[in-house]
Amino acid sequence: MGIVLVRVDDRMVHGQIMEAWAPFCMATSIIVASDEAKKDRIRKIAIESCSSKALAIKVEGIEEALRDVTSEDMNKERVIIIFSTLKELLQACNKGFRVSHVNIGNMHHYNGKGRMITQSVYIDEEDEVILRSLLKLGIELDIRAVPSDKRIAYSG
Amino acid sequence: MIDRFTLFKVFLNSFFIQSAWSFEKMQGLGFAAAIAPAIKDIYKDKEQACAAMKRHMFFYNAHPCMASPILGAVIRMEEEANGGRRDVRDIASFKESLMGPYGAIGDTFFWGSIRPLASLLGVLSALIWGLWGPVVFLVVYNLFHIWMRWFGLHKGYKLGEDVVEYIKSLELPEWALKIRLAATGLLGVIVATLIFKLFKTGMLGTQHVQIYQFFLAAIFMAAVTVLLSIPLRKGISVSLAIYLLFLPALVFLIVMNMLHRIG
Amino acid sequence: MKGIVYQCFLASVAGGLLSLDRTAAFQIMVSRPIVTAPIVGYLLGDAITGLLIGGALELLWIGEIPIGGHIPAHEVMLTVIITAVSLMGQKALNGIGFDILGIYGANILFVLGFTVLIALPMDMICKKADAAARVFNARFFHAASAALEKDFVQGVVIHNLNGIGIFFVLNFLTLFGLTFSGALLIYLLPHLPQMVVMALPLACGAVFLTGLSSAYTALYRNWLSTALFAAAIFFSAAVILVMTG
Repeated sequence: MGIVLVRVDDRMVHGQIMEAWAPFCMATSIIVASDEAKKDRIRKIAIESCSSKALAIKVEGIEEALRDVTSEDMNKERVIIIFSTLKELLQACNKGFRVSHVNIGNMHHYNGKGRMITQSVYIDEEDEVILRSLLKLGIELDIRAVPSDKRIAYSG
Repeated sequence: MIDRFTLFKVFLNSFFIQSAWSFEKMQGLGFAAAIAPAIKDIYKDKEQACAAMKRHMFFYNAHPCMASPILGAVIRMEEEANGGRRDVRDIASFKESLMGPYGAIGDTFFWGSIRPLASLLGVLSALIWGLWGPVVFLVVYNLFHIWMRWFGLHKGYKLGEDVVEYIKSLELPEWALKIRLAATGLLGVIVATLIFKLFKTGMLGTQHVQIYQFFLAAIFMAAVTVLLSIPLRKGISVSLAIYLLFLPALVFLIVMNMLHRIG
Repeated sequence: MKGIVYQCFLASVAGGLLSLDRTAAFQIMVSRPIVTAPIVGYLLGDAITGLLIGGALELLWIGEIPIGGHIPAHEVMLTVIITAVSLMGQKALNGIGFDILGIYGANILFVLGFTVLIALPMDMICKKADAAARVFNARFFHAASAALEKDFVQGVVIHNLNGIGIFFVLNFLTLFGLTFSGALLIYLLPHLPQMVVMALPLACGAVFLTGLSSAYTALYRNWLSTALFAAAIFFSAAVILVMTG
């Protein structure tokens, strides 16, 4: 089945993913693609403590994650892939990551930097540039925290 | 080292971590208030204590029970920071990186499995022993709840930031799956007991229950439970479901009554 | 009428205190319907009927988790309202000779059915009150920050506990207003068309069935859950039938 959801979320793994998106997408696996989280031992362990037999959770560097999602045995899994920033998503796309639809969940949630789109998503100028280049790649962007929220499409 | 009594005060304060829950800072103030006794103990100098407290006056939110291991570890890290063995920025980033995952673990384990299990045990006990039901519910839930508050805090203090290894080794999400499955079986037991009670009190018409009647009632209840769960899973609220069940029944009764009058 | 005001007051004070457990303090789950309803029932003179109501409502709201935008039903306030209004209604209607279908006295199923149908929409008001407390509480955060500027560490603890007061006052006032309105609305019951009154016990049935389904939904994972659920029903049904002959 492969990838069932690509999400940008600076809180990475939390209740919205575990209790709302994972059951909604019937996911069997979550990959957090972040070089920073991969290096942060404590964060990596904390995120991976959410893992269970029904839902395996791994924190990986971006390159490693891209290699993983395209591998053979991932075809059997239903994978959610989470990027913590837009920058890293674009970086992955430039490295050949192919995706048609991206969900944006939480951005600058803590510091409230930039223009407010929803209660949990704020975009600054740098983000706008990245969002436009993602749109140019033909990626559909939908902004919402949980599946039951109203979908807000970003179109530049 | 802070003394045991201070840790006990933090334990008590941890029950008030959501007292001033606000949309803006969530449990931010509660966390700071909970840790205040330890900060006063660690930083004897008043200005230093205030400076440390200010560092904790930020957005914070996790599951209320899972705050305890974080509180314990943060107390240990504050001690290390006071001794100059740790950068205070570590403390903020520690809190920030744990709150998402630990919120999720708490939701899954406490809200998603232990509490439903305790509820079902409570309801079943209520069907059998009456007013002991609520007591069973409270004992079962709080066994796990108080355990996490108490041992989580002490483990956190003992292990410092390595408490994450300890929490990981508990495999709470794994247990949540097992408990939920057990609770599903328990729900089946409740359905059967409920049908028995309904027959016995004469609410289903007859007190001399035939085996086939019992099983018919069981099949009906099981079917409704499973079928109704499809719209519920889609996000229909339980209140709406009650109206959606009641209104057709009402209309049906009225139509039947009219037909009866005409005929 | 004096009796009703007093009973509403009693239920709202108890409900206000118990509702603190939901968010503001302890979280030992005395705010769950299965505990709250029998306590309110006891205060109004009928703990067992309270337990019956509490058990049904417990199942109904078993799986409510606050995730993202989803704000769960305010289960404790609704429980207090439903329990208090149905018990008061049962007593009040007994007095004025409520007689339907040959059942003299207000059968609890008629009153409970009516109460549930009028109480469920009140959830919106309960949620508003809860949200108001959570907006107001931000002030205490800023007050605590100000206290720290004056080197007053204990101020943080004090301002934090102030939040409990806000939650209590708002919950108590909301509960009192809503239980009192409910207690007045119940007098409409004998004046409803007889067809509607006859259908009211079906609303109780709807609550029980939705409760079972809600619990099942909260625990559901895959087909294994369904199989286990069905197997458990029939196995325990067989055991009960064998045990009772």
